[in-house]
Amino acid sequence: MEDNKLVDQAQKGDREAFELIVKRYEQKVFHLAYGFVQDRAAADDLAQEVFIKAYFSLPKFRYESGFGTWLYRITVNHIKDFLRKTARKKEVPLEEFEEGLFALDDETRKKEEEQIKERKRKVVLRVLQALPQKYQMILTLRDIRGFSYNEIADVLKISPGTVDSRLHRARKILRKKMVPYLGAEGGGV
Amino acid sequence: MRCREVRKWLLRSLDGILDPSREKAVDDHIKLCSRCRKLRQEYRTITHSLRRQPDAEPLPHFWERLQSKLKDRERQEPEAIWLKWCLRAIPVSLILIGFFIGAIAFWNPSGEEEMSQPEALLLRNANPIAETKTFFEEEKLENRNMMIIFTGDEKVPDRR
Repeated sequence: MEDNKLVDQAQKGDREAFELIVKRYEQKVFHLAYGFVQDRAAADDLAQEVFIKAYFSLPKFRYESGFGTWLYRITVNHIKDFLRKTARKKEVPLEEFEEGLFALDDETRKKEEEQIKERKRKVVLRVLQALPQKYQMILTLRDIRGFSYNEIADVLKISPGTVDSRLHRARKILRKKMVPYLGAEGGGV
Repeated sequence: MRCREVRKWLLRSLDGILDPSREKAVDDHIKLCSRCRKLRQEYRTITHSLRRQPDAEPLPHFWERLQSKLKDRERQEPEAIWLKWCLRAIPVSLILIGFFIGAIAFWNPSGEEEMSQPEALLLRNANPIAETKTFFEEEKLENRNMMIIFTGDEKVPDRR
C-alpha cells in the first residue's frame, strides 16, 4: 500500500496503518540515528522517540513533501536536539591512534586488514563527531547514509547548491583534521 | 586544467556527479600532478571509511515497545494539555494583574469636572427660572434685593 494511503488511514486513527508505517520505516530511521550516535541502544531509543513524535504530529502532516522526507526531517531535528543536549562535540581524544595509521606497509596490511579497516573507521568517525553539527549532519547523510544531494536538500530544507558547498567545506575540514593519520600516500583505500 | 580547478571538482568526482568532460580533465591532470593525486587518495580513504560503517539492527520487538509507549503517552496526553494551558495562563494572569494595578494607581477620582451655575442648579434639581420667578413674586423691594444677594453668595464652583 502507498505511503499516502497509510498516512491517511493513520491520521483517521487507524493504529494498524501506523504499525505498517513503522515497520516500513523503522530500519531507515534507526540506521539514520545510528549513523550519528554509533550506539545500538541509543539509536533504538532515538528511533522510538522519532515515531512517537511522528504519531502525535501526524494530524499536522499536509502532504507538502513525501512522507519519508517528513519523517527524516523529524529524525534529523530530533538527533540535532539529542546531540545538543548530550554535547557530544567535545574534543575527541585520538592519542591511542598513532599517526600514519593509514600508511602501513602492504605486508602488515594484509595480515591485519580487517583490524586496520576497523581502526580507520573509528578514527574517521571520532573526528567526524568532533566537527560542528552542520558538517557532521551533512557528512553523515551523504557519506554514511548515502542520501542524494536532493534528498539532503529536502530533509535539511536547504538548496542543492548549499548542500554542494556545505559538503565541500565539511570534507575539506574533515581531511584537514585527518591529515596526521593519513600518511604520505594518502592512506590507501 | 589547473590544480585549483581540479580540487574544486575532485569531491564532485568522488560523488560521481561530475560531467564526463570535466571528469576526464580531472583524470588527465591527476596523472601528471602528484599533489592532486595524493589529495584524491586522501579524500577517497576518508569517504570509503565513512561509507564502510557497519549497520546495526534495531533492538527486538520495536513495534511492541513503541505501541506500549504510545499508549502511555496517550494516557498522559490530557494531563499534559492541562499542564501546558496552566503554564500558558500564568504569564497572561500576571499581565492582567499588572494592568489592573496600574489602572488603579493612575486613576484620579478627585479630578471632578467643574460645572456652570445652571448645570449646578440642574444637578441639585433646582430650576433656575423657577427660583428667579420667586424673586419677582416678592412684593417688597427690600426682600427681593436680599434674596438676589443671598442667592449670588451660594457656593457654585467657578467656571474656568
